[in-house]
Amino acid sequence: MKPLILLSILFLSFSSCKKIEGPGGTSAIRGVVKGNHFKAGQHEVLQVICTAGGQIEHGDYWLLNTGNPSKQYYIYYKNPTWISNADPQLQGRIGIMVTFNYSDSNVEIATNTQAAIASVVGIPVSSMVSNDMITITDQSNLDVPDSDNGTTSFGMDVANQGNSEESTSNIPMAEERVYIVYGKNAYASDDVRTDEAGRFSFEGLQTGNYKVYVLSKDPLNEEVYYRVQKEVSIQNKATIVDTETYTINY
Amino acid sequence: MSRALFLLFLGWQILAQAQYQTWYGVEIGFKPVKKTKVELGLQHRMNGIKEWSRSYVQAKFHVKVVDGVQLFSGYRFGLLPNSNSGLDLNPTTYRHRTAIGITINPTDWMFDKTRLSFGLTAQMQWNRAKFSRERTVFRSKVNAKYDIEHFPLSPFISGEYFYDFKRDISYTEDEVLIEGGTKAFRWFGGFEIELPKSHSFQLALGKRTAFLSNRSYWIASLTYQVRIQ
Repeated sequence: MKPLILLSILFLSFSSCKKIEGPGGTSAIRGVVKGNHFKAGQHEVLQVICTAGGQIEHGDYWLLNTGNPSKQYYIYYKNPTWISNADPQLQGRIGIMVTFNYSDSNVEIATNTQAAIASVVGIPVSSMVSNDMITITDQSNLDVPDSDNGTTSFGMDVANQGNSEESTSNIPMAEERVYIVYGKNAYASDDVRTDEAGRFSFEGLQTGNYKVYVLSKDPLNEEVYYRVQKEVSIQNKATIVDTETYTINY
Repeated sequence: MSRALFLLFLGWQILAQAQYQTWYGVEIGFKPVKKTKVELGLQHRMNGIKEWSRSYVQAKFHVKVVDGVQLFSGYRFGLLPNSNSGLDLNPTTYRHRTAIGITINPTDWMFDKTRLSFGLTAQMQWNRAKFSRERTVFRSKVNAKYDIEHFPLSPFISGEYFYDFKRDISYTEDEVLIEGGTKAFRWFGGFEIELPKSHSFQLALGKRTAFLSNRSYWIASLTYQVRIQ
């Protein structure tokens, strides 16, 4: 009788060892992380700061490049008191003439230049003037070759580099960090990284409930992240539980 | 004397430079019923001599089946530092072990009375811990002891083999493969110092060699034993 009691106590003690979610098991949770990415195209914005008429010579010009290869321009300056031809007649480009006097202020030069550009029919840019600065926005979403101030002393600055729209969908996310939360814990207990195919695996887990999540960028604000989370339950020892695919924005 | 000091110094140097543990234990054995024996024990294990490794409380129940053959069952509760304390906020964790086995002493069949005892032990044990994998381990041990006449020291040696049925876990593409394999070897050599009234000290030096891992270490063990007749 005594041995039976002793054995019963031993096995009761043994079975009372409480296991909780976490390491020390033989099961695994696996999944795949895929990503979407969208970035809108951007117009190239050029700012031209004009000088006064006294700093411009009859026949000076500058180059205006656009995203349309067949519509490249040069803007040249003609002083009416001079009888010679001010047009440098650059091949492959369309000339836009601006009339000026040596007494014109830098604001007048800017205003006249913007008016001359805006008057060209079909020019693939929009323009505006503010004091002595002309802002020229290319209508394409392309990285336009930088314009050049030619023979003038105008200042040129690319305020915004143009680029085309970027969009990818459902590509495997390599080296992405995946987090696991054990049981009822509030914060991540462990993490792994995905392989080249976007796959991840948490191994050596005990039976129980887990939360597995990946951080995704908010498509409206790239500085903000949110969780793409799935709850996973391991019911049996030595099993592999596959989660649904995680799709994130990156 | 100088030779003894030299050996002591040499032994100390070996221990100081090696990975080693020191074990301190107390065991009490008594016979509650005829042909049975109960052993209760406490053991405290240190990494080196300063860092606590783990502590055990254990009980073992033996039943003599025939001369030279005993069956036994045992239970051990262990308390040890919790390497996953971040998960349950406990600095210590526990481990349970239950075991059943058989001990065979062939010398009991050969001689009516002999100073040599030679034993073979086979044991199956199941380990369970909070944050560790459950382990099923088979152990087989060979030990020999000689009681030298009119001399207080009884030398003994033992060698033990550990086979873990869940040693290797492979997470393949679509399944979990669990395979067994040799886990460790352990040997001990030492003396039992007989004291009056069935009390004794056991001093032993041993080594545990882990298979497929670098967790091998030396062991210096000191156990105080009381046998209540």
